[in-house]
Amino acid sequence: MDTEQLALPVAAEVPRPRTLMVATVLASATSVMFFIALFGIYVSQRQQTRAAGIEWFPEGAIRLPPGGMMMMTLVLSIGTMAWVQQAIKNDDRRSAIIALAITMVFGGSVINQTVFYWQDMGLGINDNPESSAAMLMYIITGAHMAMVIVGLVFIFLTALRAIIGQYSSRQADGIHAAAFFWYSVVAVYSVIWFAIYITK
Amino acid sequence: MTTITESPTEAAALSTDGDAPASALSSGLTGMLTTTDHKDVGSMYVRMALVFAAAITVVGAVAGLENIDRDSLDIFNAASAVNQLNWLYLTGLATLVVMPLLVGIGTAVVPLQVGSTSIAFPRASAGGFWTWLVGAGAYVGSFIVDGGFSSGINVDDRAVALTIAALGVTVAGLMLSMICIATTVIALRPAGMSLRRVPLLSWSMMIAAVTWLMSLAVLIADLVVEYVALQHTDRGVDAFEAIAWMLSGPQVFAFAIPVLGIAGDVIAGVGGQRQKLYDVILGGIAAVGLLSFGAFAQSKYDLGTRDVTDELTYILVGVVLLLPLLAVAGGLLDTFRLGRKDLKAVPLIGALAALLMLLAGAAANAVRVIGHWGIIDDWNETRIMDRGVMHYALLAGLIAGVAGLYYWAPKIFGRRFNQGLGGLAVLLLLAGTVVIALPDVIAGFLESNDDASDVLALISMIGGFIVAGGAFLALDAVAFGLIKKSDEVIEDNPWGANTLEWATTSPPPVGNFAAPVPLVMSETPLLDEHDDDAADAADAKVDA
Repeated sequence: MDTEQLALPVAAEVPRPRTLMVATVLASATSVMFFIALFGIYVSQRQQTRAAGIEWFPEGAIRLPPGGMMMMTLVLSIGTMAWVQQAIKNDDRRSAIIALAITMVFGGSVINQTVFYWQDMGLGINDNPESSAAMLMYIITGAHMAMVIVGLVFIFLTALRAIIGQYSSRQADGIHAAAFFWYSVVAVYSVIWFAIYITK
Repeated sequence: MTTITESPTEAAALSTDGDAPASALSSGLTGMLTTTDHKDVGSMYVRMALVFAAAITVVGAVAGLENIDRDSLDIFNAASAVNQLNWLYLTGLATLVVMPLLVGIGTAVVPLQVGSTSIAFPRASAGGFWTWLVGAGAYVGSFIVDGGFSSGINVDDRAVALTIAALGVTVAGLMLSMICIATTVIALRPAGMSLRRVPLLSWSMMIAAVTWLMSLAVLIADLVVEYVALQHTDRGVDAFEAIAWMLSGPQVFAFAIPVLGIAGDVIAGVGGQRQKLYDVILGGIAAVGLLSFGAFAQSKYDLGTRDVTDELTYILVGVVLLLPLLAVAGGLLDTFRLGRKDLKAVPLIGALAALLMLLAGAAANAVRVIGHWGIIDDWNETRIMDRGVMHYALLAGLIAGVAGLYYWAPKIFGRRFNQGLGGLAVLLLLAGTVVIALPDVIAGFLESNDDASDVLALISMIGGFIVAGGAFLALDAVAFGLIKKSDEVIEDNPWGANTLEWATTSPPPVGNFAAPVPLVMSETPLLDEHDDDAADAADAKVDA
């Protein structure tokens, strides 16, 4: 059949496709699932290790204050990210850029705190061959740090685009996508905080 | 209508509306490396998947020789070599053959089906292909340098690390491509095409994308844990045990979800029919996606002394999975009953064969999980049944892939392939699937030292060679079809099908549609056109 033979009415223009938002939701869900899998292994291994009468983490190795500090930093970053979204909704691009910059500072701070605490706790990945606690802790927190870095790159690119005037109240898909990914970064950390720092 | 006058690459290079190249592949290596056209990327995916299919099935057939007498390892004279062949075959069949073949078809066809000028994030889609290809090359290479999945048993730990990392990269590439496909279906549909009006292939690819992303994220997590354990601790690893769930029910059916979409579009397209109970079919495919998520069924999540696979949830999922598959198959077969029965058409034979194999696999899986309650006590025997189920599901994917290639060849490659070769390939693959899988399912009920087990292993091994023959023929059919010069006139809609991809030229131009996409008012927009024409003719007759 030739294309010319078609006589159906031509489709109307569709609204601007939200491809970036859809892809970000899919990528965020995939990232969250990756961490759910790691938490599943962590909880299962912890239960089996303890059931065998073997110490999971060495006494005093995991302290709540550093984890709590990182949690608080990320909670603050939720506020600045919401500020970004509200600012762009009001077409206040200048405030949005400032809020994006502050969010990046918070993100950088979390990376700094994570690396500092790794060095401070002095826990070797292979110190206790009978327990996989240290290995899983490093994998989970390391993977989260990678997720923070990806989030920061996303925010940085969004900020660059905002600086050259790309976003407005009518076209803010990139801002909302970056915010969604950042919220998933915080959501994942809240589980790390509970599973590793509180219940250990 | 497009006339193929020169070489396929030249033909593909010309769009129907002018001088713009329709395929960057015609520009040689540079075009291949830089193309972001979804048809080119899909085409490269399927070509490489068919090459891997021919190689991997031979590896599987050779590995099957050892299964004839499992008590002696006198053929390869080394347990590690047998394990390496089996690992490469089992994982390769999924990640190097079936998944990329289906992803390739989806990448090439889905944007056309939803009336989009391009796939979402074309550079990411191309990046997904190259990531997969580099990972696949490293994965095969890791086995050549004595890699594998278990440390310590006559294998090089550095090569084992490469195997684990390469599998992760391979899977990551496929995941990236699937995000692009799913985003295209969700965000790039034209006005009037609600999700309920999306063609079955596109719908099944979207469902598969979500299921794959959720389950393969778990696979990546498993691989990361195994990699770190291998590289940074003194513990040995058995990474295959950690990822075996992906080759077992229900997860293995997730990799075959697009089979339902291909079968649905082919049966309705070749039959010239509107699919009845469309919503039920869509719901059935979604239910298969939900129930085939099998990442929870792994030994890492065992709590206490009880295996996850002994839990009621696992058994229920295995049994219930059969129901939506039966519902979808029933709906599709009803459409087949009502439509044109062109049983010489390779896509139709392939679609029916794939559907049959998928159902057989789901039935075998239901029996297998029920068997956990006492029919099958021995772990190894359960593994044999697992392998049978895996073969049914994955080879259904391979058969459906070949059927899909034949069906959409005018759109993907701008030409049609030899029907005789294709028909023979599909029949060999069908016969091979039955011969390789059924004995393993039956062997699951026997004691491992039963004499009949060896006979069944022999039959299964023969099935492996038949499958390899079918894979070679499929590769030949596509390769010859692409290489030979042809002056065949390729119709825009050779099947008289009714979805949007058939409203453009063969091959489609850059931008896919030379004319604006028509308004979509049902899941079969081109059939609406015929219906409208018929109604207009009837009205004119009444007026006269």
